[in-house]
Amino acid sequence: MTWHLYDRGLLTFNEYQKDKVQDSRVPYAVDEYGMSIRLKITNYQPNGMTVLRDAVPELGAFARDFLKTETMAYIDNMTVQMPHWYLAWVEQGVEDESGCPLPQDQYQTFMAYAWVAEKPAAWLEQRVDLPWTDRGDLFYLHKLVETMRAWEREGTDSA
Amino acid sequence: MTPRPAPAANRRPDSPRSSRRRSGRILDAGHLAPWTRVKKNCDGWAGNFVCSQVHFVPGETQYFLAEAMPFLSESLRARTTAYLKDETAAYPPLRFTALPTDKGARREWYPLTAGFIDNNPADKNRINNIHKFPPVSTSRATANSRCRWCRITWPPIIAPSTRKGSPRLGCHQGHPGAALPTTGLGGEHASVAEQVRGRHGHGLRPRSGRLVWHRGPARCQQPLCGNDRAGAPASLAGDAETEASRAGCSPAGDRPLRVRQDDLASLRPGAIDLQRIPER
Repeated sequence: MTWHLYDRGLLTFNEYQKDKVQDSRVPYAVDEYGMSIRLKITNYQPNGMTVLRDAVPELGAFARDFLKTETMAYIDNMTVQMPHWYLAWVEQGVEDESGCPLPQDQYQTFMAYAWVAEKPAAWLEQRVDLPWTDRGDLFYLHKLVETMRAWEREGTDSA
Repeated sequence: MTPRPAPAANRRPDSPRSSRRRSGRILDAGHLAPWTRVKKNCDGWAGNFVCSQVHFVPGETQYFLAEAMPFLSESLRARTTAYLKDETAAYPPLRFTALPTDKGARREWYPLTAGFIDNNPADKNRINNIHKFPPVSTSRATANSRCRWCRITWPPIIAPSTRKGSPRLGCHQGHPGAALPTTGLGGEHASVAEQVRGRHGHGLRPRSGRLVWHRGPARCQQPLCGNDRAGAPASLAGDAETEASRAGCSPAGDRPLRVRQDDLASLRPGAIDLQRIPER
C-alpha cells in the first residue's frame, strides 16, 4: 500500500478542482486493505494517462459524441499544468519520476484535441512538433495523418 | 499562481511531405525493432518510460501505416503494401504478441543538436532534457508534493533501516545499521565506503580497528536538506542505534525540506482560478 503514501503529495493537484467533473481522482484498485484513490493522469504504474491510451479513431468518435465533457476535463487537467505538452523532450512536472513527458501521453492528448475537441487543422499542425525517434515513431506519423484529415475536413488542400 | 503560457508554436511541419518522409524512412529501414522499455533500442534513461504497447505489437505497425496510406504517393503506397506483406509473413499479428527486441533496425532517438535549438526559440524549453539523463522536474507543484511525500514516507523507511534486515538502505539514507559490516575500512561495500568518506559531513570512521559512527556538523550540508540532529524520527526512540541515528541526516524530522515560503503560499487551494485559463 505504498501507493497511498506516494499519492498523498500528488493529490495536492486536486485542491484546485471545484466540482466533480474537474476532480481527477478515481478508484484505482481495491484490495484487502481498502480502496486506492488515484489520480487518473498520474498513474504511477503503468506510467501515463489512460483516457485515450492506444485508442483508435472510432473510440475517439465515441468519446466526442458521448463523453466529450469528461474526456476534455481529463485532458485539460493535464494541459493546464503543462501548457507545453506537445514538445518532445521538454521538461515536465505532471508525471512523477519522469523528467520528460511520455510520448504516449502527448499522442493521446493530441488525438483528444483532434478527435474529441475537433480543433482546427492549423492549430493541430502547430502542435505536431518533432518525432521522438529518428525513424519508426508511429505516434508522430499518426499525428501527421490526423492533421491532414483535419485539413481535408476544412476543405483545404494541404499538399 | 498564473498558469505558465504555452511557448510559441513551432514551425509548420509540412504534414504531407513529413508523412511521406516518415513513412519512407520506415520502409527503408526494413523491419524495425520494437521501441520498448527495455534498453535495447533507444539508449538512455528515458527509454525506460516508453511503455506503450503500440511500438512492440506487430499489428500496430500495420495499423499506423494503413492510416497513412491514403496520403502517400502511388510509388510509396506500393512500397508500403509490399512492406506490410513482408511484415505480416515474418511476424503474423495473431501469432506474435510482442516483437523480439533483438531483431530489426534500431529506431534511435531523433537528434536534437545545439544548432537546431538555436534556430528554434521554442525548443529552448527542451534544453535541459536533451541529455540522456534528464533532470527531475523542478516545478513548484513537484517540489511541494515531493516535500510532503518525504515527510510522510521517510519515517517508515528509516525506522527499519536501523535494525537488521535493510542495512544497505540504512547506509544509503545516511544511517548506520546493526548488520552493517564492520570489518576493514569500508572497502567491502560501496555504500559503506561512501559513509567512510563522510559525504554528509558525518559517517563511519575507522577507530580502533573497527568502524564507528562519527558526528558531523550540526546541520546537514547537503543541498535542500535542512535537517539537524534534533530532527530524528520518534520511531527511533529506544532503539540501540538512536544516538547514532540522531547524528545522521534525518529528513523525517519536524523540519521540512527547504522550499521557499512564497512557493508554498502560491499552492494554496484556490490559487488557480480555472475560469481564467485562456483558450488553448
